[in-house]
Amino acid sequence: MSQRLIIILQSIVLFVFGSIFIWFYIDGRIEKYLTSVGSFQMQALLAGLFLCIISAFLLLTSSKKVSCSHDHDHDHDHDHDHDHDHDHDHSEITVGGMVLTSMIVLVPVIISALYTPDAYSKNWVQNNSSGWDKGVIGETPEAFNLKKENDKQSIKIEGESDGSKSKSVADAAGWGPYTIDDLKQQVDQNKEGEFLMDVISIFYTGGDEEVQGVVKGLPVETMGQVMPETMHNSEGKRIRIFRLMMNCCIADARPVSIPVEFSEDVPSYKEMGWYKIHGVMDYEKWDEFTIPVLKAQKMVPTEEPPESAFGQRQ
Amino acid sequence: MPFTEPSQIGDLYFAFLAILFEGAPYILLGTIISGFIDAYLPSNVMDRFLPKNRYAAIALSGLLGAIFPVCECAIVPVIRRLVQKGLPVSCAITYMLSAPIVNPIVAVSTYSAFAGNDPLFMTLSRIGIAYLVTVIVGVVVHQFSIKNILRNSLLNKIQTDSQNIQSSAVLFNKEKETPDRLLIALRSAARDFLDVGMYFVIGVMITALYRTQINQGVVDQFASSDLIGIPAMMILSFVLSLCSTSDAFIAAQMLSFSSAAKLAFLTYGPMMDVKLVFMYSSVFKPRFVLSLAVGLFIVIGILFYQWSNIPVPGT
Repeated sequence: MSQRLIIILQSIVLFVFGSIFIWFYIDGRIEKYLTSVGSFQMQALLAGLFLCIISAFLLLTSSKKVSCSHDHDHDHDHDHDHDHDHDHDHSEITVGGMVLTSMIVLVPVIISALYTPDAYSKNWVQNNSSGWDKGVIGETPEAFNLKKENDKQSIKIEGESDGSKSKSVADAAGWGPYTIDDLKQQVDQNKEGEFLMDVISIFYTGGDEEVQGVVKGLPVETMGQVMPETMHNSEGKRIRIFRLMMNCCIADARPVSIPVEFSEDVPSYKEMGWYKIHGVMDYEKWDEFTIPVLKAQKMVPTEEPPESAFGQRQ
Repeated sequence: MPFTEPSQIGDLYFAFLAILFEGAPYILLGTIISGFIDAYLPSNVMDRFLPKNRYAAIALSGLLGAIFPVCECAIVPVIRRLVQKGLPVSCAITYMLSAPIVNPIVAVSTYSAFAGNDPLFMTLSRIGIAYLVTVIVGVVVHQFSIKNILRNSLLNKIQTDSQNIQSSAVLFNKEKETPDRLLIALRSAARDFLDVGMYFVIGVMITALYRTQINQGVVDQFASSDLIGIPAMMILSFVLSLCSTSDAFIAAQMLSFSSAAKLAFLTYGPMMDVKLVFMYSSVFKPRFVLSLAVGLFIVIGILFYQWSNIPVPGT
């Protein structure tokens, strides 16, 4: 009986565990937790389904006695009732132990699933903002959304044969000279002609002088969450806009940000709120780093996008 | 829709679930493999596939990840079962430590993460030193009795299985075999999932606590020299408990630290971290887990400190 009870308990734990995976996937909330790059979200769904299937299987067969692959056929020269089954499970699990295991596994999972806000607080952003005074040096073009492959790539590479190679990161990666035409081909523009660039792409332009030469002075629209600026802000006209970038899951995410400078006082805003900011791109030197600065002209509240954190671009 | 607004405690729930969603599928995969090994793989079969010379077997075990790539979450239940099935503990530990690094998936991700920063050198250094370390550990473990290494419960199972085999050989009841084995496999898988999952949940809670409640900037102040930076990065990898397939992307962003410190981070973390300490505890004695953590820390630290004196190509 205790063996059956243990199996039923295991089945319940697996079912609850699996259901939470399926719930978050069907609800679409899994996008807040796992990157859409790769198959992490699908893996979570499959895990949930398998857990529920195994759970059902265990429950339906909980009364079935099984014999294992090796023998427990002891010498039979002792006298006891051989009606006993050899249904051991190679472990010393007791019902009490199983209940304890179930509690340890389920309680934190259920509490987290019920009370997770699906987003980080201001406190977390502050804890992870220590690198906001640093830029990037020599990042590869693949790290940001510019310089991705386009129809002109082959032409540019042919053009390199004239010997006029620069030493930019882009050239090293075989992309050839970067021009405004490339930017127009790769980045959409809004009705006002502003380039729709995400914060992470803008941030990584700080690692490529060639791209900076093209992007500097251009009108840009970007979107993200905003926080007060705590560095290089003696006049109080700056705020920070950031987006999260994750590798696999949101636990390994980091907020990538750029300063936003207003010509007048900073308009009132909600910390951690989502905004679209329209402005013109500029760059500043902070120690050895080149920091992109968006000279803002307009800041408009907006809705949080479905995929609030970007996956690592590989 | 979530029921709560972002808050400090909410950060903990958020990060905890994220790591759980990421890691649990691999644990499930590992436990299903483990269950099927339990049901279908005859005892001592593993020994037959390895060279008779134990040192050659250890050296080969360190490369098994290239053929059977398994991440650090999935490997623990698999190893537990393989040891039960007769895989020598020294070979099992070598495979357990090397597979999360010495495998093609991690090689590609490391190469991608360091693109533009000597990716080949970094990738080969990571894999090469990880292999060396795991073989050293395997050879050292070989010198000890398994009684000092394995948990008593696992040891008892091995001894019981061994006695059964000796006393009455392997008896398969062909009539019962087919229907029973799937059930045995899934019951074993479920049991392993909960056993390992319990330790995983505890480890993930601690990791999430660190990731959400501590100012991550405290680490940067240790980047001043390799003497401090290498151990600091190993401690960080221990606490962060990142997946070996993605940790290179995190390390590559740590501009304040040297390449040696980053590689120490990438080598120590997949072998020993908070969640793994708890997961290893389902297989090994606590004293052994502690010794392994300290031993790996020292060996990897020394190797990468020496490595830092090697001139990097292109510099």
